[in-house]
Amino acid sequence: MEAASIAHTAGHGEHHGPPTAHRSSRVEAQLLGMLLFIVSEVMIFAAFFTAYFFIRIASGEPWPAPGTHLPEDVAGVNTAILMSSSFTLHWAQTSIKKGNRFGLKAGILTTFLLGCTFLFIQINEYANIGFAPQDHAQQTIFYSLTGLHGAHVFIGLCLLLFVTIRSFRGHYSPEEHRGVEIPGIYWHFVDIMWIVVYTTVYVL
Amino acid sequence: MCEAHFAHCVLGLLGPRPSESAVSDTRTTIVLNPLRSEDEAFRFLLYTFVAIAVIVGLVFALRALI
Repeated sequence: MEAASIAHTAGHGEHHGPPTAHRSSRVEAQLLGMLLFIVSEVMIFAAFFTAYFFIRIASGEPWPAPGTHLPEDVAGVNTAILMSSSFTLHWAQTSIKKGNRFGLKAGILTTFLLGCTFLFIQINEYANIGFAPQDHAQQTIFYSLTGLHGAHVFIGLCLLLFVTIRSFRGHYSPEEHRGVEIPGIYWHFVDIMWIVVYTTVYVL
Repeated sequence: MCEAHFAHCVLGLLGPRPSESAVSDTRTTIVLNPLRSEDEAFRFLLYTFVAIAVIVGLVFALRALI
């Protein structure tokens, strides 16, 4: 059946019959992979947020616990850094669409460095925050939520490192830049999750 | 002739949509899908930031009143 569809394609330049096996006929495989991955990660975050809201609301205890101080200002600076990294990533993506390779390289490198800065500040915050995960349920969920997000930032940085290296090697073009677009979608997802985490854990 | 046309219609219903890159589709759509392209993901980020800022503002205003 596949041979027949290929013959049809070769003859008419237009696909007839069922789609290629193991492939979506509507969404590119790489995009579908990232889509499914992000959906699964949203579910993981939802589970952690459920635990957070249970601990915060059902327990009836004040948040944060007395004697505990959450560094809202430092986290606020971190939020600004991560938001900026999304802007620079969008700049890089827009640049390569127009064939501006310098903009791509500058944007993606800046994004990577801003992401590293965010993670470094987060780790430094853990070292100086004054409580451990095992002290109380509130502390556990704090470390769990922010740590889960930090792990996602690390994954995003690994992707961005590949993108940065490939950008400097000239692998991307206005016609083919899925390697920038798809990690870009993931990075924006990480940024959105941080905004939600920061708002619920630090601000509200 | 009728059978060939009928088969073409059936296969057309089962076959894929016309080639359309899901990654490079930047047309303005009514529903924003942040998983479709980087442009939409970035716009979704901005909308989320604004929405959360509004919610936080409302919560602080309510806390001040109560």
